[in-house]
Amino acid sequence: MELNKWRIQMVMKSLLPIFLALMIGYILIFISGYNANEAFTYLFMGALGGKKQIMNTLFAATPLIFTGLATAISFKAGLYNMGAEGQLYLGAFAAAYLGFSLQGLSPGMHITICLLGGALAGFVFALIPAVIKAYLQVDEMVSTLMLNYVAILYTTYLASYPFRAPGSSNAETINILPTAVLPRFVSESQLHVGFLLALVAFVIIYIMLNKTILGYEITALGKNQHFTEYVGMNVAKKIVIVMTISGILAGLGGAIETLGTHGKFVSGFSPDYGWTGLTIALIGKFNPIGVLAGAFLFGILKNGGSSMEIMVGVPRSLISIIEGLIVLFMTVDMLNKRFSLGTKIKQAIQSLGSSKGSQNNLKQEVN
Amino acid sequence: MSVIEVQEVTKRFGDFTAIDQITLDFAEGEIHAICGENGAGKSTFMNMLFGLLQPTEGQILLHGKPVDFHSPKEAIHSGIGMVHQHFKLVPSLTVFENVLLGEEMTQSLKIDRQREKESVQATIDNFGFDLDAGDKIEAISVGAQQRAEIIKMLHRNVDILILDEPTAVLTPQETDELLDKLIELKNLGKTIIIITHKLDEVKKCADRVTVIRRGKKIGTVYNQDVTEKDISRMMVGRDVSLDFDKKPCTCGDLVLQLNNVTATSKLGKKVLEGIDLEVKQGEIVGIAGIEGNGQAELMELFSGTRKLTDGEMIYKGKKINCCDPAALRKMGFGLVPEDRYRDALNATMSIWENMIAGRHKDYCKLCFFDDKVIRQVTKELIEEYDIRNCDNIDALVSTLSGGNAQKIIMAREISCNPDIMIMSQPTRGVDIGSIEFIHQRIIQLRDEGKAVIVISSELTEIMNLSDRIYVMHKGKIVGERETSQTNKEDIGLLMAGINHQANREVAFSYGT
Amino acid sequence: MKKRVLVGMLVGALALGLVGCGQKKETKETNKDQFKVAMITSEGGLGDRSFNDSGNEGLKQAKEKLNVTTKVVEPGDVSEGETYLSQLAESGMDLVITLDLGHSDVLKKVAKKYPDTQFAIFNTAVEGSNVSSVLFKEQEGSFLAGALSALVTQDTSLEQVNDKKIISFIGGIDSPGINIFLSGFKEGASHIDPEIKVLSGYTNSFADPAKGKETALSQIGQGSDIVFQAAGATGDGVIQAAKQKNVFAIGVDSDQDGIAKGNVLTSVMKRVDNAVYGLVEDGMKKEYQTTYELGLKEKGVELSPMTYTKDLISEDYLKQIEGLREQIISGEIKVKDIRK
Repeated sequence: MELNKWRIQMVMKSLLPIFLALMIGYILIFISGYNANEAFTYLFMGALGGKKQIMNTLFAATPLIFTGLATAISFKAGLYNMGAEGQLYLGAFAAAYLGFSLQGLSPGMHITICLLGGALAGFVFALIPAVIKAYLQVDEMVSTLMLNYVAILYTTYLASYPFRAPGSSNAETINILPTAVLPRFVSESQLHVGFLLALVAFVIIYIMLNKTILGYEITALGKNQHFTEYVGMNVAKKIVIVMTISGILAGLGGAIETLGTHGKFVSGFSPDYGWTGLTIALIGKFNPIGVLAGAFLFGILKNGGSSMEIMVGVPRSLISIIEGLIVLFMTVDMLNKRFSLGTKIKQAIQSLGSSKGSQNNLKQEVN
Repeated sequence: MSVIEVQEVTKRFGDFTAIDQITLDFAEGEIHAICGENGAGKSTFMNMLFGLLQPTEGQILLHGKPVDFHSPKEAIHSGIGMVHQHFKLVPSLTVFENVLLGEEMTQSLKIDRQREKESVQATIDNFGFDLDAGDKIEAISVGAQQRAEIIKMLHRNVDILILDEPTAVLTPQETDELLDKLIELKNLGKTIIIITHKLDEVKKCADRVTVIRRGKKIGTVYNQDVTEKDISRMMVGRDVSLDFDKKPCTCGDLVLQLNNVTATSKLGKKVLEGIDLEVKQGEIVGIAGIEGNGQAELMELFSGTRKLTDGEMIYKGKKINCCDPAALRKMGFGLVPEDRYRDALNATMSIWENMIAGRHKDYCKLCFFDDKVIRQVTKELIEEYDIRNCDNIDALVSTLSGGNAQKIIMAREISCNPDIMIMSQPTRGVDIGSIEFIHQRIIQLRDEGKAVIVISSELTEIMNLSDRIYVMHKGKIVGERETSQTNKEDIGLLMAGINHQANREVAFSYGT
Repeated sequence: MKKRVLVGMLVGALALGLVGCGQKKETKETNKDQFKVAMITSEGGLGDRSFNDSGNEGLKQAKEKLNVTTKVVEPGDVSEGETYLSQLAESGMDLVITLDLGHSDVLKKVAKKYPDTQFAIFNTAVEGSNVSSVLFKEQEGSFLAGALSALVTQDTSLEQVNDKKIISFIGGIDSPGINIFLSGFKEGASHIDPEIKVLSGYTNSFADPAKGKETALSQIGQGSDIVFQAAGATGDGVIQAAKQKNVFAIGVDSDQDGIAKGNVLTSVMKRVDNAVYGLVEDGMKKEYQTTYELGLKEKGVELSPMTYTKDLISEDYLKQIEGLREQIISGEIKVKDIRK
């Protein structure tokens, strides 16, 4: 009973910032001279108004589920893997390379190998900061942040020179073979099998965090590292495990983008999936369910936003503003918790009210 | 004539009522002890008197007039001063600078140091304290630091002095001197309120005693009318006994041995020097000492979180110089660290999650937790260790009181069936009832043939439990005694480092 | 309880807003017979003072002069191309133009699905009965820029010019689509003086002005006093570098002379505006060509009017360049197309 009430409160608390952000977005669209009703209709209809729209929204959410989970699991363990973006790029490139170079495989086999390749790339690239963190105490936030540049620039180099598709003006590889392509569900929507893999990843991570020893240890590590060490869990090993799981997830995300969406490695293919994943992990409070919900929310905004632009002409930047506002309001909630802002405001209002009250009393006495 | 009257004061934090309708008065020129177990609400109560907290209901009268302090500054201006358990001093400044911090005497824009020093020294001499206003805080002993804290208040002309657990950091000798000093101050007309849970001290100095239990006032009694036992019964609500009939020690094989162990801090300072120590099966070894003399570092060494730089640590004949906690635990170490919520418990995890920590791997099938078994085991342990308020084992462990939290740690560590149990400050912040229980369990462990090390700054605890006592001072072991052949005074002198270093530090005294 | 009141108030406010809008109902009457054109921008979007802005200019003109409905959209990333192309086709557009090369693969698919809509893509050839590919003869404009640079870099009377016979080129990505500028530029320069040295470098991005500036500064340090850039928004940085070191830059795609007045020698304009306008014109007549190849002759490429620099440059040079232009148009000079 208590727990249920608390859960409802939690959900309400997450919905309120979204609602507020949408409201301000509505007002902004209105004062920018667009038909805000029409814009909002397309925002929701474009994202959720039909089978195809919903599928496209899920498509938009797919990479975000991976990067969101990758970030959430590391943050949950108190490790700040900021390298999801870079791991995503390496995973994407590895999958593309295997996708166009391995010949004569059956589709299932080929896809599996490409996915494993992407996961391995993410794993290896997360292993570096993990090991230097675990055994040399090098701050993982700095190292992963910096390694992003290495990954992104290196893959761009690979796609610009040794592996560039002949004749292409973009930094991109040739197309992967048809056997490596993740099939779509229906041809009208870009949604592909990768989404199911994202759901599988979600379920695995959810169960892992909530039902297994590893999940328990990750939670313990994230909440109190001294404790974790003291009661005899091997902290260094755990750091390596968590960071590499995080890297595997991000690498898989990249591989699935390559195999399902682009059919090749395109430099600059990610509109900051890694960073959006970080945002999602933060607003999802590092909880897999929160991440899933956050990824859908951003999928809705992306897909609905494009439909809003196409149909009503509202610039995409307004959607970015709404996204920013959602994050802002969620942060305010977190600040509230830390500094009990809300209570202070309430007190201020109450004291204002009571001083008014006493003034009234005074007046009455005078009268 | 009462200086302070407290009328039906209540303090709530959210749903939690910390102080429940307490009515109390303090008479002019008395020493009034406030007793209660940890968490009874003593500190909350005093913080309200001192303006750090404001009552939710009720009012406080000072000299018959209602007051409403919103900061300690207002309280001090009205003549109420407080000396906190943890001193609020700046180590790198001198005594007089600390005393006058925030109220510097200035000559135009310049601080007049000479005049400041003289004025503080005048206060010191006036009250007959043994203290030099020009000494730096970091260079003087803990006892002297406390005197500086008291002077800080006296210099501001307070006539009501609140002392929160003033003896926690003092040696027995320093404690006696402090209590004498308090009686002197009382005779000078000051009203003194002393918060403590050490009943022998209450008996020595107090005029009246008020006992608080779970936020409620149990009663106020005249000291001469009651015995220590009476007060402790008021505090706990039942009879307690901390004296045990211990069977004589039947020592077995050597379990752990430290040979000439030295450890240095990151800055290269020696924190432990030439430690020789051993513990056998079926023996409780106590390590006494004033806090901050290397006990914490020694515990870290035992726990594997600090590496020794020289010497050797031998466990069951095997050298174990650089092991991590995981390895030590596998070898049979049970560890109860000093900082409960940093090392031993994960405050934001549930009771059951804390209960199984470290041996959580025993409760799973194929990496998955076996919820049923875990719940069963947790409930059994809760019952066995008489841990209260644990009906909901999904509740956060931080909702438990100090005593119950400590029992969770004890339950967990003992149920791992260790060969050697090492505990640091096992009953700090623990209520008397739980202390009794924990002490019994420790002795039971010994009787089962385990090796036990107890590090504690509570001399009584060391004396009651140990078969053998080592005393630490400045990172060294300065003495070893069989408990049966020593007494508190002997250990107290060792704690002050006296048989070890010449008589320089005998001068730990309050006045002359 | 209080929270519920707050939420209620918010809902109320929103409802009021809705009502307010409902009353103000905008009347953007669109004639059903009107010709509808949509344009998708490429990476960088509007405001690049280059390719996308130029295309937008053409669309604006078409709207004014030809009375058509227009719409410009800016996708967030390349994976959205498919959604944008098909949604625009579905929304009843007659002509959908994409400026993004990255859409070439999906365009093939989408065009087949919407045979009633005409699509157009720039700078690359895509097959399809309802797809027009618009290609520019960039080499011709670059040739003129190279020739002009070769002349100017030897005129040491200009404060922007040093005594070295070095000019340079910065491309976005080392690819045929970009190297065509370089080859034309080189050919033009050596047509004037075979001893002219042409440095070249790539930034690997079309949207990184900082990298552009860095590369340009390095080339200027090596003695180049005229830097020709074909790098989208990255080129902004190149122009900033030229301004900082007081040498010349050469703009690309649109007339960029005004970005740093007096330091942009000229711009090799791809008249995307003319091309877009032409496409709309052809569309209204329903006379699309499968491929448009636009050079100096078709006014698809040309040098900018040099508003801020033509007074600095000796008239003799300008005459020589005009002569070359006519020779190219007449076919007397054939500039090599390395893409073929």
